[in-house]
Amino acid sequence: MTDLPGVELALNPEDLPFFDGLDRGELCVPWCTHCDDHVWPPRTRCVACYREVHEWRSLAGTGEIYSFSVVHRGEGAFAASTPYVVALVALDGGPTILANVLADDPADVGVGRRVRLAGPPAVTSGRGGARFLLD
Amino acid sequence: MAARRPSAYIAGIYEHPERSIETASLATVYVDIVAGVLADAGLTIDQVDGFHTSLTPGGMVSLADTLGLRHARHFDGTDLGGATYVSSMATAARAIEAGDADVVLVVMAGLPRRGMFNRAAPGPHAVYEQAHGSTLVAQYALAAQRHMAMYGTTREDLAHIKVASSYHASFNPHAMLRQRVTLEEVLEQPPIAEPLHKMDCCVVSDGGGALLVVREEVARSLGKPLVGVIGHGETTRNWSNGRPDLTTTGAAETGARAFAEAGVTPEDVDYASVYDSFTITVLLSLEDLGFCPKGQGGRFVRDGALLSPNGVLPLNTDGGGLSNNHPDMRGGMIRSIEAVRQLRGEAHPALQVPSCELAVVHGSGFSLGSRSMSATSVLVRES
Repeated sequence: MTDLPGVELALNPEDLPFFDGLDRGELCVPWCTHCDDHVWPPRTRCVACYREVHEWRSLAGTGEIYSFSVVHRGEGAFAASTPYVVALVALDGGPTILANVLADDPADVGVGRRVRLAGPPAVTSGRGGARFLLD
Repeated sequence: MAARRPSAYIAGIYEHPERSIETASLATVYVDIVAGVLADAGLTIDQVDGFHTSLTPGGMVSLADTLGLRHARHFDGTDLGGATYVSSMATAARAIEAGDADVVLVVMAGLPRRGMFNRAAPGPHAVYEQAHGSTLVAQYALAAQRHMAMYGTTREDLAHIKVASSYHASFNPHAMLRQRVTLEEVLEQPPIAEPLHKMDCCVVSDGGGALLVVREEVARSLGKPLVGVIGHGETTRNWSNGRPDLTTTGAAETGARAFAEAGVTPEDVDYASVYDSFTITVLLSLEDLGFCPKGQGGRFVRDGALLSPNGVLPLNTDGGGLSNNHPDMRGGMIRSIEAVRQLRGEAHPALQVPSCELAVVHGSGFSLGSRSMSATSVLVRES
């Protein structure tokens, strides 16, 4: 099982805590303390109450696959990594986020399967995304 | 059926006949399309006083110059992706109703086979897709996979949509893919982003099309069948702050609103043009528009339900984006044009719906798996 490539991303300041967190093996999301809810994708204001976001929370990094696709035709840095798995992962205590699932056999991946964060992405250039392993 | 009266009429339609344009400039494609739509309606460029388009090189000021629009007093360059021109048809009618224009030209063109198509720059949240190698097909695949897991929908169910599309396209001399395909052939195709395989995806074609939406007095002077817009709805869907619902699209809202405004129900519909960027786009839209209950789309599309003229719901009789044409990666225009052909009685004789009086057109823009636009319009033919 090999890791996936890093990608040159045009990140805004509000994206950095999430991607920097991944580099430490953590899953961090912005949190609105007024609504007591996550804000996803990250923004500097809560889209429910429109108050400014001042807090980021580190989640457990576990969750469940909401949906997934085994991609056979990738683009850019991912073109050489097919087949790979793109998934929407419903995080425990957090948002449902787009991610990858690293699996030796993509046939093992399924909706409802439990997953956990794989740890820091091993990339040599660009930024790595959220990689999960099947539990 | 107690449909309301149209606020304006679609007096001109034109679909560029080519699917792969080797040398002509985009400007030439635009002026050829406008020549075609003016000829269809029997109007001249000097009668055009309203102008709707979407993303276009140089913006609409440049396109107005290219087209020689001298009397335009109403402009709309809204970008709803592939849903745009379903929306434009209705917003042009509203502009006419408001007195802003009498003859509105709605035009689009693109040459994606030569790498020239109109698309907004990536938004701020595209980085979350790029970081994970999530392609456009993968995003629709996420919607398809979720529907399969929730409702037992199968690849074979989706394949029925492509089979119907290819049957219709076999009658269209301009269709990009005219070969009829079987369920087995669709299922045998290589995967692009599972569960979507090659024939679940629309074609990439050059060209474009146009509509002329006109005031009632103008329409009555032209001697064409009177086809008008009587209902419309549009909305957007997205990841909903990290709580996406990939099995329900914006069509659930736009269809209900369009039918309510029109004073009709899905049971009254004689013909449907439903955006088919992917087979799953059709299946989800049919459920959400109310043609079958949620989760029953897979069952609904079997047994020739979408075939014209004898199916329960004749759909995309030109072959749709899956087989005919998807110019500029935006299918809303061509879907709208085929609905007008059916209501005029100008569809291919083998596929013409008898006594076609009421049609629905549904457009779906951007990506159902991340951020999407929906637009639904209800069209009527006045006797």
